[in-house]
Amino acid sequence: MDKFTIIPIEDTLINKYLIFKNLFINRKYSSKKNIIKKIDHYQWWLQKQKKRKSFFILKQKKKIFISTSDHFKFKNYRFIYSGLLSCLSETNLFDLLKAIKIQNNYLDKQKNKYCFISIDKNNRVLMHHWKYFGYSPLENKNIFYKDVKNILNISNNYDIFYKKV
Amino acid sequence: MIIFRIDLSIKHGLGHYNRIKSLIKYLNIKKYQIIVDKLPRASFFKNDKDNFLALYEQGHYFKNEKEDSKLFLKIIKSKYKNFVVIKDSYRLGYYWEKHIYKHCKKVIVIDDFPKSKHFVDCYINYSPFFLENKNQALKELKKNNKKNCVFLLGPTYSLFNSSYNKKEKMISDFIFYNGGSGNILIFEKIIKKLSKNKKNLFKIILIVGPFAQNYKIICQKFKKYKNIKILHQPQNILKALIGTKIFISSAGVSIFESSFLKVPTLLFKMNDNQNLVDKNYEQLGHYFNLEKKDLKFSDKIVNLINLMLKNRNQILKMMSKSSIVIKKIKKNYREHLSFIHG
Repeated sequence: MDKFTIIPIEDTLINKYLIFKNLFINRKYSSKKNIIKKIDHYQWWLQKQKKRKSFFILKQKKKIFISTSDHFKFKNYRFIYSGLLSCLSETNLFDLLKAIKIQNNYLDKQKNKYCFISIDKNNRVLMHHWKYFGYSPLENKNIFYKDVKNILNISNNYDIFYKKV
Repeated sequence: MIIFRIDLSIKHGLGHYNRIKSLIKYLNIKKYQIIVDKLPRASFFKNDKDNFLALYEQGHYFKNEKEDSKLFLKIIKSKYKNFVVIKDSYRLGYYWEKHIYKHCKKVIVIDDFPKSKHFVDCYINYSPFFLENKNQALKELKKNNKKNCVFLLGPTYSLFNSSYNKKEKMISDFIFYNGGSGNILIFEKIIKKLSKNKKNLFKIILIVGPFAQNYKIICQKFKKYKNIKILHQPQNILKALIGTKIFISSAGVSIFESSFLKVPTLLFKMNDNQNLVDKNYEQLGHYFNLEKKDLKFSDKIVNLINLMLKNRNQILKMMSKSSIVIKKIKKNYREHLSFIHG
């Protein structure tokens, strides 16, 4: 049976991280479809990455995914916005679901927080699986809807899902 | 006698000269001659004045390897009998080496391109490329070289200046450098934007190399900026590097110097020979490597430099994993090149 492990992301992987981010598989379902330039990545890294809680998900010691979680406060609430980046140019459903499960294990350890994910409406695979991980759709009438959409800069091509941990 | 044949001009820059000067220092070589196309005029070379010898007379220039090797031998053989030749030139290759080989005690080459063909007794290439690819590259190098050649590969054979006088240390926030012959004005917009920062009046040093042709223009352009100091053709850039917070430079020989001093560095690949991949720069502790074309995004670069300054400790921590140990490098050279150790 394949062994899955996690390791933290160190600053020394700054350039490698960009290679992963720019893989077509990641850009395809990302809000930013263009190749990210180094100059932009370096600025982002020194400003934002350190505020993020990220880790690599490894399968048989090989990096397959990056789990990202942006923690921030909104009014009296604590939010986490999570994402997954593939480290491989091709992935499979089994590894993806396993990675989501590992990410959920991390999220479930957080307390009193609202976790959000956004999924491209064209991503048929993930659009069928959010419910298995305890998420619910964030609907227009939800009190967080407008603010979360604005804060996270999520376009209309994406559906937002959330859960409370 | 040790004879160096190097490229040294506005076109070829200072890199080859700096490398052989480091070797001279490492091996404590007392008697040597440096053969160049034309004698350099800059005052930077005044201490080495007696060691230079020009190969080409006025009105004559380098044509090809064949002519060069003939002329080289004619001059050297008339002066010396038993000599070792150390060559650091991109223009002179296999043919030149083979032609002079039988007349020399030993021939040594300092190179940057792992795939080039040679005919030498000792091949030096200290690129970090060899940290990962040593075995494969060595196979190819052996194929491309004469039998029994000794290969000194990777950063444990780095050639750079490592000594400086701590009393001469110069304090600054940023240093800009574009090599011995590069135009520092390529950074002009960035320098001016940084120097106008109202919150912090940054101390900025511009290092202008001995082959830079626009020193006067540079002085004129930055005359009004009291926080900018121009350092013209310093013998040693380490005294400035050791006292700065962020070094902004072309990715030339100075990558080893800033790695050795552990100075957070933003590199720009300016030439074709500055062709390492990120991983290789990272092995020297340099994680911020951009292309020349990125210089057009001056606002973004200014922002990045400010962020690098703000997060200096984070970058220093990243650099801590690389280690260039100068004592080890000198020992390596003295072991392998004992026949020329002064």
